[in-house]
Amino acid sequence: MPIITVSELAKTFWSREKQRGLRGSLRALFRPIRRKTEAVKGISFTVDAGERVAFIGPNGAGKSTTIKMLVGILHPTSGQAEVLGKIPWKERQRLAYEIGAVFGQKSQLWYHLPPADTFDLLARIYEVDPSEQRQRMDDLIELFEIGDYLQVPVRKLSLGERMRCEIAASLLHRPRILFLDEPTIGLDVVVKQRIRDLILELNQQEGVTIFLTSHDAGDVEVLCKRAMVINNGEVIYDGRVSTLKRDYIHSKTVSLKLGQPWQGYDGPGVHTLKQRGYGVKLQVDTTIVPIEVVVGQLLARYEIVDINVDNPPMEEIIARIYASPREPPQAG
Amino acid sequence: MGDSIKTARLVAGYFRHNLMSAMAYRGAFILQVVGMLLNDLMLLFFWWILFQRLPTLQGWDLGGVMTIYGVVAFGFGLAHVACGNAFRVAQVIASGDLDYYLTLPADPLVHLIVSRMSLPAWGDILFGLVVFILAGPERWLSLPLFVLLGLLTALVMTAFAVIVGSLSFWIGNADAIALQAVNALTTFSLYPVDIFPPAVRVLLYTVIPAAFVGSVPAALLEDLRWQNLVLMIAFTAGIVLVAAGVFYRGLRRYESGNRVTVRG
Repeated sequence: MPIITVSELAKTFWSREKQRGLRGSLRALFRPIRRKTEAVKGISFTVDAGERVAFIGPNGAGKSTTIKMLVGILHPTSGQAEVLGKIPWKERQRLAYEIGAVFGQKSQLWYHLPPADTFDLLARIYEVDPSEQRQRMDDLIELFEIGDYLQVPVRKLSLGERMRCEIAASLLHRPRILFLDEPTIGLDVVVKQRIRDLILELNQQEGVTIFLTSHDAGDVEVLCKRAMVINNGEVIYDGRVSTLKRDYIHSKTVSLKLGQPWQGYDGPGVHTLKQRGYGVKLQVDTTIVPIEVVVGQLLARYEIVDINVDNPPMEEIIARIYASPREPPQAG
Repeated sequence: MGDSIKTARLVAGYFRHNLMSAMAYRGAFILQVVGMLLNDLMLLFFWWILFQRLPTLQGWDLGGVMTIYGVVAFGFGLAHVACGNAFRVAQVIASGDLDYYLTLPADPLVHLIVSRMSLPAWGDILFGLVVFILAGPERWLSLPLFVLLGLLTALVMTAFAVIVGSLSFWIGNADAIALQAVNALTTFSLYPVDIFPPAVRVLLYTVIPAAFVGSVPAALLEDLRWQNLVLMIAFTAGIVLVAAGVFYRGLRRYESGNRVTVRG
């Protein structure tokens, strides 16, 4: 049973174009040129309860615009969407009780006040019963480990601490769907990992459906089972993250540690990336030669101490998808 | 009914939080309040000089002008203390900061305007009260009426600010134009409306409703005419409805934005 249904959803922005310099400004003042930007071009998809979906794409692909339509911030130019049986931009306030939204670039915490004060205010806005709020707060403090700085003004928190509080704040009212727009933006590797773990726990413990946008491949790989890749306002891939890897991976890397000196490998589709002493790293183009064949030949020819076969990192895969937008969408 | 109780709770909650946020910087708070008091006193000082030379101006004397100042400052103060963000609507829309209010289950317009408190405006409230009481003998007797009219004045100012600020939905960034319009409203409201030529007077009762911010309530405090009180209440209700209508119509055109922001 889908809890998010989107069909042919589209959003067009109009902007005024201005040419360079003062002359351009004057011209724009008297004879404005209006430019049409199709941020989202008629996308359709559904999301089931409990899913973890990544909505990925480069800057300006239409990720944020889509998420903003799904939470009711933006009215679409055309098309339909239903979230938990409600049309977001028409029943925004009622929907707000059931969903949570975290925008990585916009803080909902009060800058000069400690997070605890913002939590109180939000509880009031969401009409959370005070005893219920206390219980919920205790749970969230434990889960997010934010007890230590709950009373510290937000301006004195680090970005990572703040982001943990931001996400906790969006969960006070027990939302059924959590929308996260770039939740790990600007965070260091360790903090990123912590935030990802928390989101995962939330999904598994409370069954919260996760819908996140990111241009960080790591978010997708660790957090989500399903990925939708959006580029230029169109969904160009919608399927399992594992399938995404399989379909778009046309090369693997083979790392070897040898018991003898490297004497080279001559065969089509194999390319030496790095070689130092007894260690060597090869790239194998699997469309030319199967990986089993290469590994078999290596084993027959060399005395091998250690061998690793790896997929290229997610970043590379996504970059490849962007580079070939004409690729037909794959079903998961 | 449930909705209005909810809204009242929200407004009260924000009032508390704004005050807490303000008191995080006590020194700045006191300094700003005192500064605004002095600023208001300076303005009144010029009128005092003027009335040293002529006894009345189009039927208004110093007491009358002080009443105008009292009611305008009090209303201005109330509006900026309780609905401080109404005067930043243009900016909030243009920068995409409306997103925050749209993701929470509260009326976005009410939520938006109450979410900021202007500190120096406390000085205006204080100044308004004091000047009104000093404007004539036994003024404290009409204090309840003064407070009621101050509330209406505050609503007119807030609604006007929301209307001009909402222009951002249509023209991108109406920040400068909204600021000018609100300044014009405040400036004109400090003069007795009768000193202006008839054409300007029409403007001041309609497009820039400065008369309903200054002269109309001040005249009511001098001489309570029921039909004028009804007119004042009706105008306030009307402009509030127009403001809500304009804002919600514009909201459909809202384009959001991606500026990095923190909440104040």
